[in-house]
Amino acid sequence: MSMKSGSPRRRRVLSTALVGLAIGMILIAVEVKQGAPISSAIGGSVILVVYAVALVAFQTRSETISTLAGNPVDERWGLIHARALGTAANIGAVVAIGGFVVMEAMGRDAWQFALMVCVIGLGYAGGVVWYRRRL
Amino acid sequence: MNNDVRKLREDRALSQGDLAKHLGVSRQTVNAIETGRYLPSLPLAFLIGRFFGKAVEEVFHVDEER
Repeated sequence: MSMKSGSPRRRRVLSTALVGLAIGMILIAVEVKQGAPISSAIGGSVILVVYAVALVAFQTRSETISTLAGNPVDERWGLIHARALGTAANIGAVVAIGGFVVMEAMGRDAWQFALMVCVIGLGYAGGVVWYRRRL
Repeated sequence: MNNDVRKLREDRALSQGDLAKHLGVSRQTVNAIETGRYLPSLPLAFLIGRFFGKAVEEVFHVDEER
């Protein structure tokens, strides 16, 4: 199907689905390159593929699925989407900080968690600066 | 903040789905507005008022107890 056909909403959902499929394919390629059997690699990526297919199949039947695809149907669903993103970011930040503290306490390398905390913090600060001038 | 959206809609024998279609929002959003769980944006509030032939302040009322 051409990406130029259909409504903007459908195009956005198709884009999301294609990104999910692309990430799944990349994961499969990475695992195969690392020597994993192809069946194992596909199995590990099946969640992403199922998620992408479900978005396309059910996005017109459910406002919830449409929102999960990053395409809220109206302003209230947009607010729900924004709050859900905020909740996910908060949980991510707590997990990253907790992971950093635990790894440090265990005397193990915690750079991955430090990087996550840094990215989340800079992302938030960048978002505040960006939206301060636009909202 | 409370509103008369449900009364106005029922007076016109419209379902939530009918009103949602006219406003370009989901049925759940109409329900959330009617029950006061969601405050619509100013453009949507104007759209609702215009749909019922009323001013925004005739449809949405500030809770005087606050």
